[in-house]
Amino acid sequence: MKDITIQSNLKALGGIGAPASLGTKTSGVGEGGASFADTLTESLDKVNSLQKEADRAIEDFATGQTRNIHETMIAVNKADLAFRLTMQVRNKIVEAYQEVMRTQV
Amino acid sequence: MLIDKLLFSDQTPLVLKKGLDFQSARNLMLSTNISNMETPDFKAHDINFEQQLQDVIKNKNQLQVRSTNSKHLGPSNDSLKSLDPLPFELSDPSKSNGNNVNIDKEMGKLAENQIMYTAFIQLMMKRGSTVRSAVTELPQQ
Repeated sequence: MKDITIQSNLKALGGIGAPASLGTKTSGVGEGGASFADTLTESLDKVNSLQKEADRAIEDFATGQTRNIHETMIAVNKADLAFRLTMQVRNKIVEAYQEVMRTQV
Repeated sequence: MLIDKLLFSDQTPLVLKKGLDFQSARNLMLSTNISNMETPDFKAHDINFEQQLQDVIKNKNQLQVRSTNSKHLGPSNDSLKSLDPLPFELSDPSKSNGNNVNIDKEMGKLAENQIMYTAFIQLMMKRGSTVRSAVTELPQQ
């Protein structure tokens, strides 16, 4: 799963969304808080690492390095859940973007 | 093939598939042991698929193959694909007729093998459903 393109796109998004030079404090972004793009990137990284973790858990289980089924199942379910949540968030973002684009000025 | 690269080049599903192959072979072998429990001079056989899988995966990870072109398909899974069960004879003490099948042991192994088989199938389905949800974009399924 290569997220290079996603990250570079998100950076571009951050450039438009948060005009850093023109006093971000006065705008909607809270003091010291991470920007939306950063949060999104972080979440995507987390989902990716969860999936890698789940794959590793499966392989460990298959090769007999760990004997507990439940841990493997939990890891796989965590990755699945995180991924589905991400997908829905993405759908909502695209939906919002399309809504804005459809708006007549 | 693009589709092979996108969907079927991962190692984990292959490990699961091999695990299922081995477990089904092991089931057959354990059944043979049980049905031959009275056969004179029969020796019980078994497979240690976990060790075999582990050996292949470890060897692969040691190799450290790097792809220098985006068209490369990454480290090949051929060694894993061509892995075959390696049966070995159990060294349990034989009975007076030369047979060394221990029925309780074999039954226990059979039950364990069945549980592992079900667990593998569940893992495979769960992992598959994640990929499928990415393709279809349906929240459920």
